[in-house]
This record gives sequence, structure tokens and C-alpha cells, in this order.
Amino acid sequence: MAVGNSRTPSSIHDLDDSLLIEILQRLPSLKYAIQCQLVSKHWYSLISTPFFLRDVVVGLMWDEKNFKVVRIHQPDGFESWFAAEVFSSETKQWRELKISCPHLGRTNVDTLEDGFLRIWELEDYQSGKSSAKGKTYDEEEEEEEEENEEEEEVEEEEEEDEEEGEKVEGEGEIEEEEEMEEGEVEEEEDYGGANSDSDEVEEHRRGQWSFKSEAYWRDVVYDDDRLWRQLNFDHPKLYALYLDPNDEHTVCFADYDYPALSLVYSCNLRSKEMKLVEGFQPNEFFLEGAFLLPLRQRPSTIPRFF
Amino acid sequence: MSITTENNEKMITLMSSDGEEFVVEEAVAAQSQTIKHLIEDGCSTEGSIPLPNVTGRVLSEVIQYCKKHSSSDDKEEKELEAWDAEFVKAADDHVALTDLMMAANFLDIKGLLDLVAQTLANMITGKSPEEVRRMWNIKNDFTPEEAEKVRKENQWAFE
Repeated sequence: MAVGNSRTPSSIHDLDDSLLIEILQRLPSLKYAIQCQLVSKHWYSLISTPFFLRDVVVGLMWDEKNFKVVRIHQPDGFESWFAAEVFSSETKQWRELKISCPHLGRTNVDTLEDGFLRIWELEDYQSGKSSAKGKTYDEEEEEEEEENEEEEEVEEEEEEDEEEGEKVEGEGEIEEEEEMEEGEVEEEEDYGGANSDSDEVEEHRRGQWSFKSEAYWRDVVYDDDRLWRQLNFDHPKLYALYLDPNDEHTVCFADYDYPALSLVYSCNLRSKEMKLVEGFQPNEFFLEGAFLLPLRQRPSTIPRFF
Repeated sequence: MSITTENNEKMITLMSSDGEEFVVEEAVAAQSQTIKHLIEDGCSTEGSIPLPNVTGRVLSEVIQYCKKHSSSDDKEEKELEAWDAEFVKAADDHVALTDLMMAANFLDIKGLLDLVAQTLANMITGKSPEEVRRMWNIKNDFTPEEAEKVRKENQWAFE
């Protein structure tokens, strides 16, 4: 209908979802946005999508000894860049990383898994193939020679990528800012055309990946997004993570295995200030209902290529 | 149709969906990326530019905004902010604002889109879901059980 047609005045119902999201994203805090979920099922669906939450993705990576908290956001005005802040329990320090991902529109979703960060594009969903636009790993994990187990894991992942062929082109490594080279960006731009890959490459990929694995691609980006927000309590080495109810920029985390023994920290992702949570009650440390995006494990249904 | 004024400014005619014509300077019209591209593609030479998605009432407001923003420079930023605030206040009710927002989106005027979206967000802020529903005549399609479930998902936000 025409804008401002006097017979049938337009209302919020006439706004496209994208425009409604424009409004909701400008609410002063996540808290207000979450409250608006109750307006209607439609609003709920808009406010629940990772798309809506693209600016604030918080994840946790862990291994036998250490953990890392990662916050990813898209800096204002830099559509093709993501910034990640990583806190390592080993160094007790925050690092800022830049991730280059040219050509990402607003339909991307990012997730963390096994020390990997993946950034996805959804445009191929119709044909059943989502493509990874950027893939990265934390350099720190490579540097830490003594962490053999994890080291192996990283190598495994890399081998996989080589088998995938198509994907290796799209690798966007997390780089220390000063190491980011122009060439890096161009390499990824090349990948922009990789969607129209030859049938041969596609065939190769389809041959390697079973239907289950394709479902996995979609799982990550399309499944009930509440999956993203539920930590898997069965994981024996899980560190719990939640956002401070009074401050969405503060995350709290602890070793969930031994909550009574563990130290619970809160850290402010803006000021990087970190402190012990006092008066911590284990039974309060319950994650259901917390707003969070957990680290997702690579599902075991993914075939290994070796 | 492009005519030229005394001070040599190229003029563009914009036609609203209800047939109203507006003659504006090209610099003003080019605040809209959509119109700018139409001009660049030569669509303005053979008469007026039709804007089938925008009524005259809304278009006149949009042109007001564009005129102000094409004639102001950076040092007048404070004054411009005050002007913007008055401008959205005049379009006070949310129906007019949604009209403006759709027009700003269609015409691709980023500043106006930002301004209106922020204004609408401010109107939502601090309102209960029920108040938001009333404001925009939205039907509550949650059952009490479903609503409770949503509340439980993000308990912290509702405390």
C-alpha cells in the first residue's frame, strides 16, 4: 500500500520485519528488547533471532585447563568487519582481535565451536547449502605447544577444511590487528565468487558430506534458536556462563563441575574489569533463562575426512 | 523535466502516489539515494519522477527534512539536532512516524530513517508489553502459559 494513504493509515503492521528490527535494535538496552518479546508471537520471533542479536555474541571456549570468553560484535559502520574480544584464563588478559569478512550482509550468524569461530552466510539455504564465509581459529591455541590435545584438534579441523576444498578459500583467520594485511582481505573477496563454484567442487562436497552434516549446517543457523541459549549441562567440563541480570555487558562464569569449590568471576566486557562474585550461591547459578549464546560442540555426526 | 532557476540550480519534479507534484532543487532531492540513482540513470529528463509508494502528505514532510539537511553544514550540527527533534515532534503520532519510516526506507534517506526509528524506539522504551500493544493495536496472541514460558526464558529481563 501507499505510504500515508489517508483512507487506510499505515501502522506498525505495515512495517517490514527489517524496519521493525531497526526500531527494536534502537531500544536503550537488551533488557527492554527482551521485555518486548511479550508483545506478540511475531515480536518474539523477531527478538529471538540471532540476526537481531548480531551485535552481542558471547561465547565460551574451554579445554582441560583453561577457558576463554569471547565476545563478538560488529563495530558501527564496519559492515565487513567483526571485532572479537577474547579473555584467556591462562593469561588473565583480554585481547582484541579483528576478523575480516567482506561481503557479509545482515543475514550472517556467527558461532563458536572448539576454539573455532565460524561466520555463516545463509543465502544458499534454499538450495540446501549454507556457506561459511569466514572461518578462524584462535592463534593462541597454536602457540601453546604444551596443549597437545588441543593442538591435535586444531590440525584435525584444518585437514577437514582441505578436504572440503571450497571452504578453505573462505578462511578468515583471526589476526592480531597489526598483522592484518591487505592481502588477507583480497583472498576472502575471492571467495565471494565461490558461491558459483563449479559443479565439480560442489559434487565433491556433496559426496563427502552426508545429509546429516548438511542438517548440521542448518542446525547452526536455522534450528530453534533457543538451542543457542541452552548450555549443555551434560558436558563434564562445562564452565557456566551467564550475563549479569543488571548489566548486559557483564558476563559471569565458573566451573560448573564443582560450583561450591570454584571461583565465580564477573567481567565487564566494556571496561574489561574483572572481579570475584561475592556471596555466590551455587543454587542461584542456574543458567536457564540467562541470556547467552553457548559454545557449540561440533556434533559427532560430522564425518571425519581421514 | 529539469528546469533551471536563476541561480543555476537544477530543479527536479517529484510526483507523489496521489498525483501531487513537488519541484525541488536537485541537491535536495539527491538526499534520497533512490532519487539520486534515478537522476544518475537519466530518469528525470523525461518529466517528473514518480514515487508510487509515497503520498503527497508524507512526501512534503520528507522534502522539508531534505531541504533542511541539504542546506545545513557540519557546524550547525547542534541546531540541526534541535530541528530534527522538532520535526519528529510535529509528526508526533506513531502512525505518521511509520509512514515517514516507510518513505525514508523506500527513498533511502539514512538520516531520516535513523531519526524516525530512534523516535519510535524511544516511544516503546519504558512501556509495558500491554501498553505497546495498545499503542500499535497489536493483538496479544500468547496464552498465559506461553507468556509465562517466555518470561522464564529470560527471567532477568522481567525483574
